[in-house]
Amino acid sequence: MLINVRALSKAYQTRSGVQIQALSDIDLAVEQGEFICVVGPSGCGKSTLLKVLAGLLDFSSGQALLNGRPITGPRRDVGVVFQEARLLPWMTVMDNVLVPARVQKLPPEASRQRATAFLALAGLADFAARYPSELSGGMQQRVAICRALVHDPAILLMDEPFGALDAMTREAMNLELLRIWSASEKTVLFITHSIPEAVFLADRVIVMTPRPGRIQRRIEIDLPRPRTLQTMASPHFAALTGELRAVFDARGAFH
Amino acid sequence: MTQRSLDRLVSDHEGRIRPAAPLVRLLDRLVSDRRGRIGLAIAAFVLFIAFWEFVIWALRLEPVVLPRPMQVVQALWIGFGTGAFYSHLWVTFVETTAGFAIGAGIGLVLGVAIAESRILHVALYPYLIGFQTMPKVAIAPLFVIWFGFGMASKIAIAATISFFPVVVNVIAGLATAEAARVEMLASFCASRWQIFRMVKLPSALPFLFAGLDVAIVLSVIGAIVAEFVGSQKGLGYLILQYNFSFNTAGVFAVLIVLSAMGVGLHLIVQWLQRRIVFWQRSHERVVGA
Repeated sequence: MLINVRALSKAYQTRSGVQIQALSDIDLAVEQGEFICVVGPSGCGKSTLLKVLAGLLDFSSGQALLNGRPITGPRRDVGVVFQEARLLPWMTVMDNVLVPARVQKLPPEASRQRATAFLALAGLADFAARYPSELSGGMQQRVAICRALVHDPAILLMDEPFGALDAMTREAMNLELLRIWSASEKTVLFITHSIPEAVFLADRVIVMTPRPGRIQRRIEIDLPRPRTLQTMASPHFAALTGELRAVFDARGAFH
Repeated sequence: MTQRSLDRLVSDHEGRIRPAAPLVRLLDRLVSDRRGRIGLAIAAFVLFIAFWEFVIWALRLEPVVLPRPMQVVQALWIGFGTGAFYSHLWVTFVETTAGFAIGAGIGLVLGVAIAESRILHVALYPYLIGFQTMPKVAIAPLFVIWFGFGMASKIAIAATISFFPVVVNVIAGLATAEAARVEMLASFCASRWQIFRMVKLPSALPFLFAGLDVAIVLSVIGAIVAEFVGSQKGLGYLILQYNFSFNTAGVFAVLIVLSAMGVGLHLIVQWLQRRIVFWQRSHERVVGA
């Protein structure tokens, strides 16, 4: 098992001294190569969960293992994609992609070759020498995905990576991501607040609800792969998204 | 340039929209292209010289009080023609740039130390702010006692005065590094030093340059004031000499040389900034403290 989380809880105090239960009793087991989406309204703790898994936040109680080892901080076998691209404006696209390789002192030539291959896979082969400010939002986010993959992590953690993009770019990016994922055989944990996006991408969707942040439901997505834009038009797709919406409707989370 | 074809419209007192007066339209067009702007600047200069001559004529001023523009040009001509200016200009230039380099260098190092170390921040920052409010030129007489009448005391003052804008801007700049970018690097297992080198330092560069720009101008002031206090060479010394001999035109000429040096150094700093902080768009420039 690649990600193994048992009875994980995270509580913190606000400045006014109020105790907030951000995560409560989270159980999560993810197999190698799986694509998991965590979906929920804002404030349900899904980003907190991702930051805990990325080693950027500590947790209060429970157990969290990645690749069989407990999480004590950021790790080399994890690649994180944030909501914003977070590229460094003073570096070229190539140098931005190479940031994890430089930080982890990986062999430069091999890293460069991997970066070139990922940029080509993301349709950015001609942009390696450009600066981030010359790229559109969708292109910048694709660079961020290449950066998260360049050190060959086993796990890709994605925190609403396409949340800031317009609907059409977002659909194109989803297809792109599935293509990159199937070529790289990574395990992906993808956070989103979009139900159709979660259903389209995932092998399994984890539904989280707020106050306290806990897992409400797990739904297997048995849509055939490779998935295309036609997948979204299928009745089975509609049935699955409907089933997910019903979870939130019952909770009153949309009201 | 697109405004060239668009004449300015104004609304009159009854609220009707009509074209602006011909003179306003002409000026609008002048500022909208490069040759027009140069023309305007020259026109302003000519007007200024004419006003200068007019004041001398109207108030019957003696050349000792206010020399005529041509006398200033003459003094400049003599100063450079006989070579009298060069050695003084060189001395002041060296004092200014050496003081600037020392002050900026110490400011950069201390700024980084204070920004990165909580202990140093708590221990030193209050004194830094306190010391900053003190007029640095007031130490000049003391420095002459400590470092003598030569260039050392001038370099020391220029360094002291250019140190502050740099140290304050470096501290502010390092604090502005985006937490999101720092977190991104941390997620890839970056060490503290790597985060500093790859995110914090580049983020602070626009602030550093804003500080350097202020520092280079202050450095000229520091060198000149120090020369006033006691010296045997330099443009400040020359100003005092001309003043004592009632050579007011000469004083004006040295002032022009000083301004030219200040503008030149400022332009060099700006040029370096455009080269080094190339990713920063001009509208995002940091205004110096």
